Amino acid sequence: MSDDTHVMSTTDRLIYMAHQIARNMAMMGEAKATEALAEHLTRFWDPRMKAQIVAIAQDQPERLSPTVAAAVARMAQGWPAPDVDAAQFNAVDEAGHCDAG
Amino acid sequence: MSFSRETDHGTPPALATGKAITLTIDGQNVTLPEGTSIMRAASLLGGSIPKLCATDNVESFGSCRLCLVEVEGRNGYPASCTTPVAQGMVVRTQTERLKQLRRGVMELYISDHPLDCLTCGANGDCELQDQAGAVGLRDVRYGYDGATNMGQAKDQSNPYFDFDPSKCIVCSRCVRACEEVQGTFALTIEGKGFDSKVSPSQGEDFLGSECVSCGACVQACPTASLIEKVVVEIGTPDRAVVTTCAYCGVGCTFRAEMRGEELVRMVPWKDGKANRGHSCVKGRFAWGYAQHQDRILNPMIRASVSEPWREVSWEEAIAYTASEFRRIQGKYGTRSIGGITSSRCTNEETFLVQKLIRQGFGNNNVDTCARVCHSPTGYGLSQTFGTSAGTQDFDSVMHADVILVIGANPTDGHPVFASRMKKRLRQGAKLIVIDPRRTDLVQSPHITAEHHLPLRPGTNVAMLTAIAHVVVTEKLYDEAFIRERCDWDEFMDWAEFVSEAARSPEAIEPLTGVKAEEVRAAARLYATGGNGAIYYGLGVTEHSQGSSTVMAIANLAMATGNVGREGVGVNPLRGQNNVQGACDMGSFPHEFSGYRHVSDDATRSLFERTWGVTLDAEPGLRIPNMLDAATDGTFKGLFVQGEDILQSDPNTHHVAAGLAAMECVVVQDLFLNETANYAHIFLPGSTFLEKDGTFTNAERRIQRVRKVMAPLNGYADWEIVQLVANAMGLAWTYDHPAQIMDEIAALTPTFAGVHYDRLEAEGSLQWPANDAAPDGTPTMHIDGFVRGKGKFVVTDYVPTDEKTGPRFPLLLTTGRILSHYNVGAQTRRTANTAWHPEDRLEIHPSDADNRGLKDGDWVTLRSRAGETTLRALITERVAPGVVYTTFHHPETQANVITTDYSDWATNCPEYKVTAVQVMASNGPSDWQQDYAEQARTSRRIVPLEAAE
Ligand code: SF4
Ligand code: SF4
Ligand code: SF4
Ligand code: FES
Repeated sequence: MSDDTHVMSTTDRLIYMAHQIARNMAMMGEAKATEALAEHLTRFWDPRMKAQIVAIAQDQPERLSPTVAAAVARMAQGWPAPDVDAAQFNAVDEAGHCDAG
Repeated sequence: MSFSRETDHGTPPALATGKAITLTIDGQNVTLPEGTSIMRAASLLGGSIPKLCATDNVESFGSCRLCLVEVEGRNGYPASCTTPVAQGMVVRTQTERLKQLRRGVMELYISDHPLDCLTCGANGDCELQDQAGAVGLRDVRYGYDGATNMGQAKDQSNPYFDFDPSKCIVCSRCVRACEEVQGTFALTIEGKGFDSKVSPSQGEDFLGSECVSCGACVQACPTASLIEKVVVEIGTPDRAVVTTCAYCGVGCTFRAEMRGEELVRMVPWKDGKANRGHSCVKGRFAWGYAQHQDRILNPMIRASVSEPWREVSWEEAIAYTASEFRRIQGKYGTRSIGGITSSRCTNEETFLVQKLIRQGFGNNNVDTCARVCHSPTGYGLSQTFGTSAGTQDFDSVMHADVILVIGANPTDGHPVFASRMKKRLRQGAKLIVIDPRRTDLVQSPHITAEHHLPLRPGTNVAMLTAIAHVVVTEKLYDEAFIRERCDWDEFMDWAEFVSEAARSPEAIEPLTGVKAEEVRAAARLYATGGNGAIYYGLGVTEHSQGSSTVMAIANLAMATGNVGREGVGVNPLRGQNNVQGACDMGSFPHEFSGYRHVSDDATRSLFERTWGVTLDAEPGLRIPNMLDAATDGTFKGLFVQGEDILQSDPNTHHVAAGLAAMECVVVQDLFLNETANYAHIFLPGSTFLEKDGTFTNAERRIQRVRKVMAPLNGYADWEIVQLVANAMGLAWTYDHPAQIMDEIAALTPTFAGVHYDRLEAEGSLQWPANDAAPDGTPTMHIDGFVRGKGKFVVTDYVPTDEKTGPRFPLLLTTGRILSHYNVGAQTRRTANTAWHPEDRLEIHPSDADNRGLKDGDWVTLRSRAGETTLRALITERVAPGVVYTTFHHPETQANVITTDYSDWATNCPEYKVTAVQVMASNGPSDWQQDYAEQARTSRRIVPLEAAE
């Protein structure tokens, strides 16, 4: 085993993930990207991941970009996030959408 | 079903021209499509004209002259297999003169054939024998003393079938099957006249030849000349059960031909709508793992992974599982445990595992291996089209004019579909391949890709955007389609974005390494060449921009109007047999079956009413996050059904650390896989031959899996999950998977019309199958997109953070080969190892030269995540700067090398891009040796008797 093997810490990974999503949403423009990221975190992150990123925003704010920080704050305000059409799901009786994300 | 051979109508159905012909055959009037042969017409009427060189999966050839008929008003005796029906024709198939002629033909064949029928493996299943009987041959006038072709050496090199030239009647059915059905062109007829004989090309033996062991020639052979070794060993079958292959997402259906309780052979089913009577080496031959000695048949437990396994009764194992999970939840909370469903198991089993987790564990911590393959397909297609599934059925490819294959290697990954695609290409469709490697498809017999764009791994989005740039700036888009079917404003935004000079083929050439002119030409061909169909695989999804690439593909298809009819579309080639089904069944942590979010109150209350519990409204953990949470101490128990995450998931060190941090890992599998080295409870699983259920293939086609033998381990997998559920207090009462499907149908709108009796009647159904589409849905988005207006999504190219540099100058990309399947747990336990005994590292000659490497040398492959060793294969298939390997063998553990980087939207790992260094080495690394030792220790078993 080489000694420079790396396994990211959970904190590092969550910060990395949030920024990676933000970078891929950047084309939407600041305001929409913030809402879309907030919705993404709300829809896809488990409660402990949400709590961790909120804690990071409080304890190490310098590690979050303005967009990510704004989205985390937006998410922390709680459900429901506004539907910015960044994630599609079926309604209870709907056969249409099919999201495997 | 008792045993009878499938009817062979002698020649394939006529191509549809819409014209009908009426004629008389032996006094009966019949009306048939124009182009039908007289032979097929007679067979459809219930008669049968003797034949030897004709069979209905290849075009007729007219060489044996056994099928002669009389046609009123015509001279001579035309061959019925090559003569099409004509209006008003009057045909006689049985006359004295015909009998004489046929007997004469037969006599010649028999005089040069060994008459060892009683000891021949094909006795009772031989067309020569049948036809000799049919023409009433009793005596051979020429005697058996003249020169014959008997006594020639057999070719037994192929592990699954033998070739005995002395039994060959040179009918060329095998040659035509290899060409027309399989598309490999491995066989030829050598020599002329009496000396002519069948031979694998270049005079090699079968194993050493181009042959890919698909079995099409064996199936086509009318004699014992090409015959399965098992038939020789076991004897001919006495019953057959139709079931579905458990290997890949093509979903071929087979007749499992049995002799008593023993499986003799798997023969591709002609009525199978996914495979149309064809197969590949895996489904056809590689089922021996089901009886392999490594299979674990007794449940086992242990308190810690350093202890040997202790065999226990099912009661003890199940009770221990339930008590451990409840203990952990009591100590660490409801959300401290979870599970992983299997894309190899049936829909019903997958549904039950996620139900166990949501209803029994009380959380949404369920994920599936689609996480590591096609999760970006789901995300990307749902954003753009409104549904994540492939838009077409496989038959659609026969209507395509331009086929664009990106990040897929169908001849290895989806071989039966690849054969169809190649057939279409030989008919003249044009091919564009976008792939860092020169895959077989780029250049194969009678097929040459019009354009191969060998881009640098990780630049898919830049490449697709450049293609879009050409489509938009050269005004090749389909304005009428876009205006009618898509959101025009969104199109305009997207068009403006892709038109920027920075996104032109010229501007991105330094990134992708592909000549701009070639990109422009490919773009023009796709946009203007008629029906354009896109097929893609894991080379698209397994990137940090996997989801973006899927959306870029969808954008391109919409812009050129290539959605919503036959011959076009966007088609993900799914990896595992039931990965589509596993996703449909609610295996993801944020959604129920039918892709409905867990936070949706109406959906939750539907499930709550049916299941009688309150369900968690918060999404659960994905696999990588489960492992993080385990390392952090908040996730302690995992139920893994039919997956080997230690071998298949990226960054093995991360997976190992996560598993080691858990208090209870339960593995349900056929073998002690690599993940089981970290498990505390092992529940032996059953094979697809041992249970009932359904799989859903890449075309959304739901097909039955049928039990052909009793489970060797005692229970089908769905029964085991039910035992665990009931031990946890859930009171499930399923007696048969049909009842589970009824529950799925009641809870899932896309499956509302799917019931076992419908599947029995139809053979298969493509979802959505419901009141709106009672017969299922072969082509999606015909009159409009599922989401309403198709949505163009701007996809900006964001380079991966995995960068090459002085320490890691090469890019590693990973893949698979034909003879093996995924982590190889099954195929490594079959004779398929004859073709791929080890994983090799493909490296370009110039890179090998720089490092002083020779072909076959041991090399160390090192990345930022870890290192392993394997042997080098020097080849120009890979471009300079790129290396490639497979991950079929645990000794190699290619995933020690792959990193934690993943798709931004879905965390699908970036398997296809890892920066590495390659250097000469002496043999296995310390890590590999340690691992082998740890695996060996971890697999010790104390048998039931000794343990008591
Ligand atoms: S097994 Fe398949 S590839 Fe091999 S010779 Fe026969 S038809 Fe051709
Ligand atoms: S091997 Fe079989 S199929 Fe091929 S030419 Fe000989 S008899 Fe015909
Ligand atoms: S592995 Fe795939 S292509 Fe091969 S037989 Fe099975 S389903 Fe068909
Ligand atoms: S079957 Fe028609 S010529 Fe052989």
